[in-house]
Amino acid sequence: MAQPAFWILTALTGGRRHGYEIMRETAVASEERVRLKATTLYAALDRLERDRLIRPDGDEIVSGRARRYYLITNDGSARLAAEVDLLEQSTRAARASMSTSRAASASPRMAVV
Amino acid sequence: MAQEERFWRLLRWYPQEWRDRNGAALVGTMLDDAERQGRAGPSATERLSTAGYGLGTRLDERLALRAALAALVAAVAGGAVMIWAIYPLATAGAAWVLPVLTVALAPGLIVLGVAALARQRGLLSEPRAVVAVMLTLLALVVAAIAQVSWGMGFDAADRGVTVTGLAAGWVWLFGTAWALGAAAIAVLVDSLLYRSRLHRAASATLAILAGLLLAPAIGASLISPYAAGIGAAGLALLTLVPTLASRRVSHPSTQVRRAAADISTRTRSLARLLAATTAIVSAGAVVYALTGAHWSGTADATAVMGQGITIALLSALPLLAAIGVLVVARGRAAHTWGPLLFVVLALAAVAVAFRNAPAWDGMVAGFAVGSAFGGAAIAWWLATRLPGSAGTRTAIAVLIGLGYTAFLGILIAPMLAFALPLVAAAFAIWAPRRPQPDPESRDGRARPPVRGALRSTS
Repeated sequence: MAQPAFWILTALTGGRRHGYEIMRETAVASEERVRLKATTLYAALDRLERDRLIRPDGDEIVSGRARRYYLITNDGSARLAAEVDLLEQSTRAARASMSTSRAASASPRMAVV
Repeated sequence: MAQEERFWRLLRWYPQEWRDRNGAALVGTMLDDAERQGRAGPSATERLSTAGYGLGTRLDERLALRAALAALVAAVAGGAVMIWAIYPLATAGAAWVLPVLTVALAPGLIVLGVAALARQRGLLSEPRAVVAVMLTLLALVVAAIAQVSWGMGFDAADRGVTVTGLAAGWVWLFGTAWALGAAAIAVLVDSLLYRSRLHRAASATLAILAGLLLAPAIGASLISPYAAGIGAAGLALLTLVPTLASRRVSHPSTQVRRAAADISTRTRSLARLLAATTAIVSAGAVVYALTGAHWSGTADATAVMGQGITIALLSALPLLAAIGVLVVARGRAAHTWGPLLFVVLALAAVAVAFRNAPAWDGMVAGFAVGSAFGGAAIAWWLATRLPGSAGTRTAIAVLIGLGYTAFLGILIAPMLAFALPLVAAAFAIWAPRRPQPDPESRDGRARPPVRGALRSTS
């Protein structure tokens, strides 16, 4: 799953959100490491909507600005859960490999004569 | 309001339809972001990003279809130029017309269409699709100039004149086209590898390698104008693929089509007999074509070869009848015998052409007429069978048929004559067989395991 799609679905698990809220929540949740541009966001929203992973939930005018709200669908939640499982599995494998290599480098080496 | 207007102006990169649907929400989000960052207008990054995404959004399936149709027209023109006008154009100093059509224009339109399809189907991001198209178009234009330069250099060398000007720049032009083409392919491959979870460095290395190796191979294939024709036809058919699934249920042809099991044994036997007749007669014709000069009393091997090919092509008639009988039996009564009749006329024209073999001037009229009949058969067959709206599939079918005619597609017939015995034999053996019923789905119950199997596992 592409990064923008992952972060959009993650933001929408918290409930109904509009575009700018998704951008801000993504920046905060990723500790400013992922900053979605508005253009990237709407391209990803278009794609997710086409794949039926999210759906629009009405347009509102707030302080003279148009805001379109989105909701995550059941398919979207399932897809995100599968992605999270995969990431956790990958992280566990990477940690196990790193700790093994750390243990190997820390153990005393025996010289073979 | 003036601030908002600046964002709306930026959105002109997007198609009108997209702006009507999403423009207000995107501008609202951009204004929120600008306000938080204390900006009064779009940032430079935002401008660049909007251009990339806006232009990329214009690459959709509608554009892909238009590009495919235009590529087919360019390829048809290229085929006609190659067969009928290459020498007059060269004499008139317009040898550049063919490379412009078949190295720059048709492949450029094909790339545009492929990128649009890939973008629409989520295989390419919008900015990457734009970058790949731009790089490829540049590469193709430079490649076309390189081909003209090569031709000029070749002519100069033929005349023993020193190579100067454009002709002298061939190496640089070739190198530039290679670099641009490699960069375009690298962008495409890197996008496809994005989902593979490969390390960035590994996927970038693979993408660059693919670009460096594939660019000259694709460039070399464009030397033959046939590549443009085949590519354009392939893209045109690809644009119809998304409608295939949606039309599978509603297409009238599928509603009347019967299962293979419904075809009567008599019809199967007739089709098998007709195909076997072709297999036997064409095998004899091929043997005669290859060895007849040694034993038939006709010493001219070329004449014997021509006669053998003619007999083999005419022996295809029972096979065509077998195909017709089976297709009609499956509920395709309309639009089957018409195209097959055109195929018969095409083969007859080639047979007549071979009476003047091997003199090309004496044969070319027969090949042209044969190709026209072959093109008509292809157009008719495809127009009534392809998915998609009637207008679209008719336009694609007619252009593919015209392409076949322009490239003298019937020239492949003499080669097919040698494969005919095998094709007809395979048809006689396999094509009309009654399909085996699926034991799992029969009566909705699975077949019980056989006793031997039970014994062996116990």
